[in-house]
Amino acid sequence: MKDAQGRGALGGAPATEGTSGRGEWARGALLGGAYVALLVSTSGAVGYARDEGIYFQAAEAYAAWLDALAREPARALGREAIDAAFGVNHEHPPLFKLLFALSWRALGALGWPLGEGLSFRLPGMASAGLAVALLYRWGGRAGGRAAGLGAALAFALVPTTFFHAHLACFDVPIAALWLLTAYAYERSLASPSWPRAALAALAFGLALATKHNSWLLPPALGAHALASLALAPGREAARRRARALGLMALVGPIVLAALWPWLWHDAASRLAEYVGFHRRHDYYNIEFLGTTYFRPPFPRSYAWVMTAASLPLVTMVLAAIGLAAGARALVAAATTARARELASTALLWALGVVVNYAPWLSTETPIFGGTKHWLPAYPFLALFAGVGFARLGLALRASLPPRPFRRLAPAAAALPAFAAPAAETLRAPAWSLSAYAPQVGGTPGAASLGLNRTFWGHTSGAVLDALNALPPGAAVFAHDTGPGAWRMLQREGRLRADLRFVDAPAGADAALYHHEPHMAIVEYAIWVALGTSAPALVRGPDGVPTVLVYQRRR
Amino acid sequence: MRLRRPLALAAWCALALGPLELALHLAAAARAPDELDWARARASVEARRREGDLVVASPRWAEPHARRAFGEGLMPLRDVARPDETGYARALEVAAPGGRDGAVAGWRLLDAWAEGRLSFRLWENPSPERFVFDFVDEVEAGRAEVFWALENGDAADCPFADAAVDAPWGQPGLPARRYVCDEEPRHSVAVTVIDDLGHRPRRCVVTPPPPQPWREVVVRVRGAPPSAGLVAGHMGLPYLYEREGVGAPVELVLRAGGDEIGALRHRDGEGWARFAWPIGGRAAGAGGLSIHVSGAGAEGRPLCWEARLR
Repeated sequence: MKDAQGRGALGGAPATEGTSGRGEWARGALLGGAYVALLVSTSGAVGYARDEGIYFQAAEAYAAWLDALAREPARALGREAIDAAFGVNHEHPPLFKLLFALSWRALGALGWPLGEGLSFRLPGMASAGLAVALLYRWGGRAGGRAAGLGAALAFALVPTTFFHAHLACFDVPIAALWLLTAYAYERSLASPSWPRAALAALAFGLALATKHNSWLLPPALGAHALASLALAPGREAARRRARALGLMALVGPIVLAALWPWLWHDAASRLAEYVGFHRRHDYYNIEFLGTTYFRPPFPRSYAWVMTAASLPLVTMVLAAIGLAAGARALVAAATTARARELASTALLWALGVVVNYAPWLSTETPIFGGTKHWLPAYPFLALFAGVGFARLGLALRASLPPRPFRRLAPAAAALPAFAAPAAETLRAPAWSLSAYAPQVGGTPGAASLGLNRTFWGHTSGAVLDALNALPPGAAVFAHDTGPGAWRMLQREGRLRADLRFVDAPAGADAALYHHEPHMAIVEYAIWVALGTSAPALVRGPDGVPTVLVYQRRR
Repeated sequence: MRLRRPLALAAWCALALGPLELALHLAAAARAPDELDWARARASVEARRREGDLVVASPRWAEPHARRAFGEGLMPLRDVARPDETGYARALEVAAPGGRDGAVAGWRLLDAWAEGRLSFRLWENPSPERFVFDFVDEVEAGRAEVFWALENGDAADCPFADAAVDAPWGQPGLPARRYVCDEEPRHSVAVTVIDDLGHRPRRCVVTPPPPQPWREVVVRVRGAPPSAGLVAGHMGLPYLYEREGVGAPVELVLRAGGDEIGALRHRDGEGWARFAWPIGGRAAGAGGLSIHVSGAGAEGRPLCWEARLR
């Protein structure tokens, strides 16, 4: 499919590139900024996850080290100071914890105008904004403006992505940096120059310094380099690919090492420990179709079923249409240079999906984190959905009378296409991790199917009113809510400071229970300790009990 | 560019999916009973429930709403964490949309009605069992004798005490009122609630085999009615123990005086296992009825059992 200038586009409409690039970047930035604003405005509804508490602690330790580096660099660079600061949570690379620290420090100087916890969360939210902007630009470049808009919306309006985008964690940041690296790599092939290749290498280094999902980039990009070379063979094409990948291999590890003081001493053994930790990660519990899995073999269907159950149906259909367009582009690859370029792009997107799901083809890969494990695949699914959206708009346009309806076709397509994802995502931010799509009957249907309702203990944020109504000095067993998350709620003044955190129900006046089947014994221990099996409060999305509050029977 | 008619039709169909999904999403939200529905249901349950009726909520995940709204008066712990449904003559099921409780399958439907977003079904058990004596109640009330015993008959008493204690994570909760056998809380004998292999709550007597050199822990009850002809019960370990399938087996023996009535060896993975043994009129003997729990290498494993006479 070609535009008036003879340039093809996956979306069927004219691609948005060349002189309009700056304006398109600005529009993308606007979209990304709007998404960040939305995340900021709904952050209060999303309680702090257990892991966030650990990352708050790590970020504060890093911030103290950065202070020391400014004051006494010689001492700060010594092994003792580095180990004291970076020993905290050293199983994850440092980039976003450093950004959490800088954001916390910078906003702290202003008295944390948005709240202390949000100051930690802001870098993660910004990474979500970056992903939205990139999707708009890349989608637009490959498939026209409608494809860009569709891709941005398809990514932003997924309830579980929306949840993770709130957190001071690494799942959305790594998705954004995976996307950035792939985009920069692709640009370095299309418009080759050393600065572009260097940018791709830098992005890869930042991804390495964010989370270990980045380890999947070399196989994905390597496979793409070889396959796309088959589409457009030639010495120049081979040189471009070799330059991009070679620079990544060189610069990426340097960036990781430069950003991670933990590796500045005893680098080899610490790197081996880091890799070993994730290669032999502990297995935690996760409920799937009524069974709690806690050790291999895990079901191979997990990733696909969870995706199908939690992504908006319309997004998946749009992605399927986009995939079909991508497949057609591959078939047509031999015709023109532009067709080969589009085929190469579609191939890269497809690899972005496949490679990020591939670890779950093994029955040994842990599945405890639900959909967050393969979140870096979602931007690529969104790109295909964007193309599907553009195709749909075009088909609609062609079937309408010329005036005035054709002009309205894009809007007429956008509203029905994204109304459901928007409603599913925005209706209850507090419960977005528990959200399932209508194709499985929503959250009630998923509960009946035995799909995981929650993990990480963040839903304590949904019962703060009940906790704040407890008698003065009450002791609360918070179950899966970590002490770091609890402390942050108190530091922000959202939870009364006199409430005491206790780690067992026996001494508690009140107790929380965050539902996961393997922890049912905790709820029953609460019954025994507090002398009641009748909760004082039951909350959850669409009537599905997710967090319960018990009070001691007097 | 011209698009063929079928493509345009497909585009319109795809677009129609959006509003359809939105409608389904909104419908799912609208169908969900809220706090008010459950609060209103209480009046119906109070009006229709007879003393001894079981109240259940379906789907099973909806039960916390019922426990909150109806309270322990209508859903006491002994019902919520029941060993099974055999002892109930009737059950009142309160169902959220799509809910159906499998526990009453095969029972006779007496009545069904709806109020708001909840449905009500009254069921009758075609053959309820009538129990006349409950071991768990005896232990909970402190009316049992509990002791560790050696092979040679020597014994160490486990006195009934009132001492709050934290249960370690993953262990059954320990009530303050329990039989204390030594300074180790996990050696206590007490009425607790475990999660069975299906995560269902089971109210039972946690009776861990004692440490060496003790051979067994004994729970003896007296005062059983002489008319009782059968002891029926269940035994199992908490889910986190059972699921591993690697723990040492635990043996439970029922004796009347010195006579063995029945014995069962529980292996991990067997779950909440039922037993039933005729006692032939020996329930009210001078020696009482005693449960003996032992197991080589099974020290401290929280075997939990319940037994009733009928």
